Amino acid sequence: MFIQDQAIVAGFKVSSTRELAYTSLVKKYQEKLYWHIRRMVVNHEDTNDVLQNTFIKVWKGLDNFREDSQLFTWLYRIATNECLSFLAQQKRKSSDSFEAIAEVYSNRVKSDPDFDANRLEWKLQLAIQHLPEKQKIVFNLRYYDEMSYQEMSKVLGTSEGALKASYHHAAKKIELFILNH
Amino acid sequence: MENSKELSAEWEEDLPVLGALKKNMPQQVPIEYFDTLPEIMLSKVLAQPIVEERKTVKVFFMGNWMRYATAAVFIGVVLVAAYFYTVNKNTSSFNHQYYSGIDITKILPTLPDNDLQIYLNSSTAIAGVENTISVSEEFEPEDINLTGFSDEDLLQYLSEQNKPIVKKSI
Repeated sequence: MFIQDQAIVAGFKVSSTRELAYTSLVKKYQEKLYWHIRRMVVNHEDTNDVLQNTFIKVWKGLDNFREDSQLFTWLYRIATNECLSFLAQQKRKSSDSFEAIAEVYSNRVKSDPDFDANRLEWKLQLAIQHLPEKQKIVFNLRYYDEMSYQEMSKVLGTSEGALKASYHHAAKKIELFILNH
Repeated sequence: MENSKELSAEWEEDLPVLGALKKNMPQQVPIEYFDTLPEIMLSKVLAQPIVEERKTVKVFFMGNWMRYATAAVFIGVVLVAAYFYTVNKNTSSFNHQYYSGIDITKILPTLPDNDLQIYLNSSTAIAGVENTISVSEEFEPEDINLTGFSDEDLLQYLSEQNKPIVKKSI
């Protein structure tokens, strides 16, 4: 059973319970954030780096967290920004086209020791890698994290209408990819 | 997070392939990764150097208009001071009394002709055209067509210019 978000935030602001509150926060959100990041960066090592950076930023910023927004949307926003920074760094290193980068990430999916091209779950992972970054995030948040458009707009700072359009566009592309492969 | 049943219905209607899929991630995570991460993170953040925020201490309250007014006064003082400094410097460095006492007719014969020629060639703007040897030497009044001018115009021009060399040619 996890501690309520309000209790975590309040506990963090008291020096005697700060570490306990932080550990509770990591325990509560580590899996959700891990998979959110891993869907974007694909391999475990990179995911671990991005996730650790995310939690370090949480430690530094939780004191200033305003409780008018939900803790999990704030955490997702930090994690998403860390993912995008990581992917931007990777792009700068390779300076390849969108298709080439999509191919790199598809190959990372295929290089997983458990990869099975016949399983739909793996096809879905390949299909996601062929989406532009923003659509990828929107699709993942909606499909896997089952986030409402309102919550998503708080995480991504985009209007709900634009997010709906982006999600349906992404989902159609994925359906097509799965049907054709 | 949104109601899972509503979302499933949305996918089954619009996106049947996705609706039929299980949402499990097929990748694996290293064993005990999530058991150890909270401890690792805590030790990492505690090892972070503590950077204290620099606090800005306001010496006294100052509104925006006050800042602009202070800046304007400061700039004004600097400009006035610079003006007076420049004027005083120019007047103090030039000794009027000494130069006004010099008798040019005595000094000029002592100067070499070549130096005078170089000075006159290079200092037209300072000396004025009428004092420049090269101009008076090269000036050929007969080259000028004066037929289009009345005598009054020419006399007025000459009285304004007061050029003895031109007067001589007419």
